[in-house]
Parts: sequence; C-alpha cells; structure tokens
Amino acid sequence: MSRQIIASSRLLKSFHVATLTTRSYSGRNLILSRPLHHISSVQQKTPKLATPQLDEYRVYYKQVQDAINDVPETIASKSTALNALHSRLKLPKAFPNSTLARCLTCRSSQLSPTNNNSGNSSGSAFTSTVPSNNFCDNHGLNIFGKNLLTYHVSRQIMAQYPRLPTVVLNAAVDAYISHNVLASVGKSWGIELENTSVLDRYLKEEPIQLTLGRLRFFNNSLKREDGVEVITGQNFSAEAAYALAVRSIIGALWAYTNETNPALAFKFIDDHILSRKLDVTKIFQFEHPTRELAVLCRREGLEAPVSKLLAESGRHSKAPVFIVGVFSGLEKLGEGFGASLKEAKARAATDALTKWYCYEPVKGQPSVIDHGAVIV
Amino acid sequence: MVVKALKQSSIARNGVGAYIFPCKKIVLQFCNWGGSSQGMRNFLNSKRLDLLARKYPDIEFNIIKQSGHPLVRAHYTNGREKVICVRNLNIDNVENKLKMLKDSSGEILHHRVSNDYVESLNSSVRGVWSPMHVDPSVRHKV
Amino acid sequence: MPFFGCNLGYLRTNIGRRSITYLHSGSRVRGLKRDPSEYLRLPGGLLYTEIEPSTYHDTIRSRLNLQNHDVTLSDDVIVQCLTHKSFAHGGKPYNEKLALLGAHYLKYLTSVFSLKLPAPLSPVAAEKIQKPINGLNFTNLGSQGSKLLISKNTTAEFIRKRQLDSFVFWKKRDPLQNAAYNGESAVYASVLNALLGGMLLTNGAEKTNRYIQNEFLDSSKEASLVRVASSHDV
Repeated sequence: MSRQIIASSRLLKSFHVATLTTRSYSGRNLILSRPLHHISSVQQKTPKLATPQLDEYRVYYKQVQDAINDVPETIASKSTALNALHSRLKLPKAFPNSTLARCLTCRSSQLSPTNNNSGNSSGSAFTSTVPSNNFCDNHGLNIFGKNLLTYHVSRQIMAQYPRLPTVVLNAAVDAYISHNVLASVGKSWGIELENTSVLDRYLKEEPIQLTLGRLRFFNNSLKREDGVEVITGQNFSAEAAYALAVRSIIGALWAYTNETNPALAFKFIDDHILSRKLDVTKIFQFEHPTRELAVLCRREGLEAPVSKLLAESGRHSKAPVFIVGVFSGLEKLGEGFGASLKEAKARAATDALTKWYCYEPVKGQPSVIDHGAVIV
Repeated sequence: MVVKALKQSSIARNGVGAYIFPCKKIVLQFCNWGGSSQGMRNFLNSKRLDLLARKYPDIEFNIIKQSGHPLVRAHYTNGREKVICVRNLNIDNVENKLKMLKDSSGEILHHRVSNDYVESLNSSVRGVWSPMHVDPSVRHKV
Repeated sequence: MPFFGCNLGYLRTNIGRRSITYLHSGSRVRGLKRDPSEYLRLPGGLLYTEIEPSTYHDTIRSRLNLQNHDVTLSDDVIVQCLTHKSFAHGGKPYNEKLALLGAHYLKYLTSVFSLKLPAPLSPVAAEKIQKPINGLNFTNLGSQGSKLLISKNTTAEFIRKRQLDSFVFWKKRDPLQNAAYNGESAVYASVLNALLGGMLLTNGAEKTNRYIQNEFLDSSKEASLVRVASSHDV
C-alpha cells in the first residue's frame, strides 16, 4: 500500500502535474483498505455451528487424523490396498502394513495451520489429507532410502562400466533414481493417490482403512480444475510424492531386514530399479571427439590416432557415403560413416571414445580402477 | 569439460528382475434389484470370488452395489482400465470375463501382423547388413 | 632461468625423423609446453614422479592405520586417491570418481550409524520426532548433527589431523588467496572419500565397513569423524 503511494507520488514528481484526481485516488485507496482488513479479521473467527451432522463429521475427521498420526496395525491390516501392495512387492512378513501406510504419508500432506499462508483453516476441509503431527510420516525413511539407493546404484554402475566419465556416471545414476523415474516405478507398483477430500469420504461413509492404502501428499481438491494442471514446487507434486514413497519403502525394507538378511534390500533395488533398461552410450555428447581421442591416446601411451578412409560410394554424387576408421598403429579403434569425410572422421573418433568409456569388464575380473576421463 | 551428459531415463522391463502383476484392482459392480445382475449376484454369493482372491493376493477386489447393469472393471499398473458389462450373463460367463480381465496386460489390444511379432528394446544381435563392408572386389560400384 | 629439456623420439617409419620439444619453465607462456618437473611439483617440494614408497605410501598407510584392519591398498591406488583433478590438468590418474563412490558409501554408513544411536545427535524440536522402526531412530536423519558428520569441513579436518594434507597433489586456483577461496576443504574431503572408494573397490564392502566403523565412527578414537564433528558443533 505504502509503496503504491510512494510510486504515485513519484509519478507526480516526474510529470510535474499534480492533478486532483490522482491524489484523491490514492487517498480513496487508503480508506478502502481499512474496511477490507476489518472484514478479513472477522472471517478468521471460526463460526460456532453445532449440529449432530457436524459432530459426526468431526468424529470421523478425528478418527482419520488419529489413524494417520500413529497407524495402528489392526486398522492397517484391514486395508485391501495395503495388503495387495505388500503382496505385489513380495515384502517379507516382518514388514508390517502399518509401516507401509507410513511410507505413503508424505510430510507435505501435513498442512499445519502455521505453514498455511492464508492463516485460516477454511481450505483444509477440502484437502484430501488431514493435518497431523510428524511422528509417523516418511521423512526420515525417505532420506535413508535415498542414501541407500544412491550408494547401491552408483556402485553397481561403476562396477559395470568402470570408465564412465563422472558427468556421464551421474547422469546414468539419475536415469535410474531421478524422481521422475522413481515416480514411474511407484505407479507401476500400483500405488494410488488420495484424490477425494475428507468431507467426500465422510459422506460416502468410506472406512478409514481405505485412505491408509493411498498416497497422501499436498493435494488440495479446492484448486483442482479440469484441464488445468497445477505445477507445484519440488516436494508438493504427485511425482515427488511417488518418489518419496518408493524411497521410503526401500528404506523401511532395509530397516526390517538388515539384521536377518542384509542383502535383501539391495536385491530389491536390483530387481526393481537396476533391472530397467538404460543405454549408456546415448548419454554421451562429445564436443571435440578427435582432440579428445588424441589426448586419450597420449595419456594411455598409444600411438597417435590416424583416420583412414575404408570405403566410399558416390563421392561426386548428391548423396556420398564415406566409411572412415580411426587407427592407432595397426589397431583399429573405431569406425564411423558420414556424408562427408569430416563427418565420418568425427563419428569414427566418437565411436572409439564410446568404446573406451563404455568398456565392460567380464565377470570374475578384479575391479578396474579407472584413471578418470581425459581433459582437453 | 569435453564430454557432456544428455539426460536419459531408464525404461521399465517388467519381469526382468521383479515381476509385478499388471492387474492391480478389480471392481465388481452389481445391482440388488435388476434381473441382469442375476449371474453376478450368484457369482458373489458363491465361493468362487473367495477362491480367486486367495489365489491372487496381488489383486485388490472391490464390490460396489449400484443400480444399472453389472460391470467388471479392472485397473492396471500402466494406469489404464478395462470395463466389461456382464449383463444377463450366467455365473460361469461372469467368472470367465473376470478371469479374462485379470489375465490382460492392460495394453490396448492390437492385431499382430507377420512383421511385428517381435517387440524389443534391445538392438539386433546380428547387426544390420551394410553394402560398404563387403569384399571390395565384389562390391557394387555406383 | 634458461633451461630446456630435449626429447628425441624416433617413429618407426622408413625415414628416421627427429623431433625436438622445447619445455618451458618459469612463467606461463601461451602455446609453450611446460617442463613436467615444474608442473608436477607441489609447493612443498614434493615431485609427483619421484615419490618413494618408503617415505610416501608407507607413511600414508601407517597414518591411516590400514594394516590394523587388514586393508591393502596398492601404491598406484594410493597415489590416485591423493591426486585431485586439478593436478597436472587431469593428466595424471585422479580421484574424482573414487571420491564420488566413497562419498556415497560414507553417507550410507553414517546414516546407518545415526539410525542406530538411541539419543538424538543434535537437539530437535518435539514435533519433528519420528516413530522409530525396529529400534532405529529415524529422527536423527537429516538433522544438523548427522549432516555435520560427513560435511566437507569435518572430513577435511580428519585429513589434516592425520597429517596427510602435505601429501595431497592438487593445484590451487590462486596461490596468493586463502584456503577457502582455493577450496582446500573440498579437495581434502575428496581425498578421504576417494580412499574409501578405492578401499571399497579393491577390498570389498565388508572390510571397508569394519574400517569405517573402527576408524571414523568410533568416538573413543582421537581423530575420528564423530569427535571432529562434535568439536565443530561446539
């Protein structure tokens, strides 16, 4: 408000025109703002309504809140969605349904009145989740699951492709455990979102255990409209919530089995995450392949690479094809095709570099310690 | 730095490693009054659904009472759903339809013609034939 | 300082060809090759090509207590772990990827360590307390204390306490500026992580795990990460 007044006074100064209308406008604005504030303060007071219906709703709401705050195993074991998910993932018996329900509670679902900018709780009736404490959410499980995943996936990729440059290695790890990928893993596990509001569920007389089997995160039905997709910040989107759930299930699996069967959680990651298909050669993008290959040969003590034309067709035609091989001494390092000699040469160097970097040791070989990517 | 990384995502291969049953949820909808639901009501009264549910714990079975023709609605892990109306079908046919949905992968059905019997993420083991790599003495000259 | 080294190389062709390379020393001149004995030398006087196993590798092994835990690291791996990417413009084997792996492993093990602590590592607000699972304290994860355990400064301090800092091959961004500007902590932290990464790859997870538990996470040891982190805390 005050900034507006300053701006308008600046305007007055710059134009040297002090018209009555502008001044009266800013003045009117000031007056207008007072009753507005007054109204909002009235709105913040909760209206006192006490009908039997409302009381019943209040009881239902409280029950949901209590169930989410500290999931009792008796309710969680009745949830069909949780049982099916448990069986689908082939989780061990030691992993209780209540923890599975906890893995599906994201911290973003707990819209506490202090976090809410509007300051009043009028909107929270329309959210699909209830404000609860942080005692039983997946925050810690997610952090641990993430550490576990990052370590295991990068270790496995490094064992398979010991010579990947660091940027490519990071991109490969991301291709397995970035939050979009984990979200698609979560969807393929059949985890469903909690999309109906608490009020709707109350009106449908839905049992409490059903909501325990769904993914609870910041999901406000007030703001949803057909054809409009709300893009929310990092941990508030559905994708992020799916990823959180997947990571926490992995973290919780480790927590239950690390003493009895420590390899199980890693086996789970191997089966569900590392079994996905990734072509590492598609990650590379070389800027100066020929120069890089020359530096690499120098560092590794090989003879300097020489490109030689192996075959060609239609040199003077509209669509020529050249096949160029790149050689170090007598050894052929790579081969490439192209519509010009230059293009074919670059492709040959790229091929040679890709073959070097994507080297896979055979099984039983002692682990290879790579000297690092070359820097040009 | 000379090498740069392009963003890639890994592709799911259900069955390599872990296998997740594609059908995740089956909703059976019946009407308590309509005659077209007679077969469905018989099915629900019999032991058959119990046996199925026990045999396939991966699938969540829901039963809804709603007026109208009876429906079997299956939800799949790929996000799609398939619905079959089982009006006026007897108990065996209802069960067959349910089993059909249970066994489906959730993908759209399409007719396979002889050229696309194989669908694979992997490149061909044999490689692609190239005219440029045959012996130069017999190579075709343009 | 007029000095140049000659390098005679004969290529295996019919005609003998002689190539002479001028190696420049002193201030950097664009386009001139530098003398390796100059750019491979640390400010402390240590030359990369002339390190002796008795004075270099064995000292490092004893300061890290490798023998006590039956961990064997070859000379090459040790030098690679102590060589940062900045050294010799990446021309020598460097520790970047080993450090990456070691950092992930250390992060995983310290998170397990903080999970198993019954008491909170650092004070947390009452509403942030999480329900323990199987006796594991999930409140500790993501707290200040558990982050501090593997922070750059803690791991770098560990390297300094074990007096390994003078052995690290790296090049300062600007020798006249202070340590923070040159990123000294990040370099030292990478050395520690790389040693763990190298250990993990050559000796396996079991030995590395035991080594980390006894050397880094044992609060009775003088220069352990737990002690260093708690002294930072105060």
